[in-house]
Amino acid sequence: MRFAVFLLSRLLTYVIVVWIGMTAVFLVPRLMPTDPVSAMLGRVMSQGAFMEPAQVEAIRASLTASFGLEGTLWEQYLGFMRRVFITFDFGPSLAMFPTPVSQLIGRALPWSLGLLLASTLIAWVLGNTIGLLAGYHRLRAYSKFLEGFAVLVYPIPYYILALIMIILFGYVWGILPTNFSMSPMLKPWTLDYVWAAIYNSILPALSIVIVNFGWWFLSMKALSSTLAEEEYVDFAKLKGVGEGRIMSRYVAQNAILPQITMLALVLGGVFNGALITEILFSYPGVGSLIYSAVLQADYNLLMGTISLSILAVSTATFVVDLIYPFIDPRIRYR
Amino acid sequence: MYTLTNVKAYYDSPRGPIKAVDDVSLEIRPNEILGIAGESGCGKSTLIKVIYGHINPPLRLVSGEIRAEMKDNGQVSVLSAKDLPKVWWEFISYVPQASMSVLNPVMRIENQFFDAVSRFHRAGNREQIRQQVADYLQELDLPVEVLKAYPHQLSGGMRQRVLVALATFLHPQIILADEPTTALDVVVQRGILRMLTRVQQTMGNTLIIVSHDMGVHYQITHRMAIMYAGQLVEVGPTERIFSAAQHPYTEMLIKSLPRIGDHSAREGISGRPPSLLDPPPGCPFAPRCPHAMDICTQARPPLVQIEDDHLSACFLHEEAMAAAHAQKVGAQS
Repeated sequence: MRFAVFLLSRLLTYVIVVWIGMTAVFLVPRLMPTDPVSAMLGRVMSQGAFMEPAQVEAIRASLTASFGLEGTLWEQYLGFMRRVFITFDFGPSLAMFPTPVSQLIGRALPWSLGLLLASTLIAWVLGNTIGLLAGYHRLRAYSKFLEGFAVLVYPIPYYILALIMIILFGYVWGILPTNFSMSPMLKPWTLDYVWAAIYNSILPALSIVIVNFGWWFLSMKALSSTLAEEEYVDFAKLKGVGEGRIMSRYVAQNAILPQITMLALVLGGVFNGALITEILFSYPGVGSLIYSAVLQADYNLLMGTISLSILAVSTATFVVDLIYPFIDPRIRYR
Repeated sequence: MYTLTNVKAYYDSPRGPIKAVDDVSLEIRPNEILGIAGESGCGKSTLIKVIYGHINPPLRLVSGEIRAEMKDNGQVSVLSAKDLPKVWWEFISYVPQASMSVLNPVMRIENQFFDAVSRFHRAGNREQIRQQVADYLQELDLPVEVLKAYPHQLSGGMRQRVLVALATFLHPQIILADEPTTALDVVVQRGILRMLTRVQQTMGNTLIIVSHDMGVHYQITHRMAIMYAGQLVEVGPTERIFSAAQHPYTEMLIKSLPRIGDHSAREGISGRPPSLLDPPPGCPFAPRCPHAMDICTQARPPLVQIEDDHLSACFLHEEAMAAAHAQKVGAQS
């Protein structure tokens, strides 16, 4: 019963947040001084094609219809909401007309998900495990060395780090491909295909792991070195509990709570793709898609990707809320 | 029987050793409640750590001997400070300060209980231990449900009762309680103290209770050790300490206690205790003592027997003067 009430209240919050987000996505482009239809027409006209005024009007009408700009603002709004929540249809891409936006996203999303899920999880597990050890043994030499290393690497801007890696791995040593390039001849899900996909993703994945590792390591080390001085850890030592169990049950179990929250939020962000990574490594993910949408003023594509991101981040937050009582006994469904 | 002989335990610090336990000799007897009293920072808690055998850097056992006789199935084995961690909870156990959060917030009480007791063979397998623990809690009039609870679901008093239960579950020969009732309200305090004394009476073991609350000592202890600046200044039966204190510090401590019906202002002891980093060469209480003599700032008064089972360290006692003199003569010849 308590759980049902809790679930319903959280669900309601979730729906409201998504709804407000989507409304903003609907309203913001309509506040812009430029009319996307005129802009599109202008672009077509500037390419030198001659058109009868009647033809122009016909194109204008069909563009207005496909952009969902027909009728009053209220009608447009209802149409938009129906398309977003029921059919997830954002109309055709303007830059790659007439490919539907949903199809473009569907094509790019698996690449972003594969790359980011794998690299985020690897960085999370590594950073937290090593951070826990270093935090618990905060006075040992290896802990201080690792912290020095992390502090040194972590503030390097990501694009610099990525460029250094491209230079080192791609040119100096020449062992990894710097650009994502898979032969179109490869059939999906054959062994060769999977291998090529992994091989092409190593460098971008590695760059993400290094940067994220720094963050997870430093935060986990800070958390666990504080917790290692808690009275209940001292008392566990007085109880004669072994070091391994003290680390896992007394320190890690307390330190991991904020890390799980952060992980869930980061995982929500996975649906945004990784803008800079994907551009630097020519990776065919959602980040690259957003980038090209911005460059080419592709409103529909932009709205599609932003809506996806709103949905993903709020879903992640919702899931964190739901799982928290399971991992922290002090939090109850209320 | 547990004896400490001339034990010195110092904390290493960048500014030199902190002499928290400085030449302490104490005899801990079976079937007694021994109180250790003194103001904050006098080394009470460090003495407890040393007795418990929890001597980790920066704390260091500089010199002296610790000798514990452990009875196990009729056999007696002699333990030194190093052996004690192996017999924690079984031979010697520890009740922490009530004000501390010594329970892991994300673990059920039963698992925290098992962590301490499951190391011992006689406890048996997990299910058996669970049953034994439940039985024991019932014996102590504690609800069995606390085992399934998390620490935040229990009151401060209940948490402390659980810790007392934990410390006494394996029937240790010595139970150390470091400020077990500090930060609890008086009603709960009374409950905890009664629980401790009841357990001590049934098991016939030794309870060492550290407190700065003289009321606690008066109510439950049989014998008391008064500590000042890392040293024991007086050891004797509680009743004698309160009725006929021998050391000026103890005397002033007792005098400062309020009494029912006496409305005159209480006198405190002026001045502050010396730094443990650099204690004065003579008697540590000399700078605050109204009876201080020349010798008090030069030599340290030895702990000498004044009456039956009552020791005090002060040059006001002829015995101490004689002992110091004998020592001096011995050193010269």
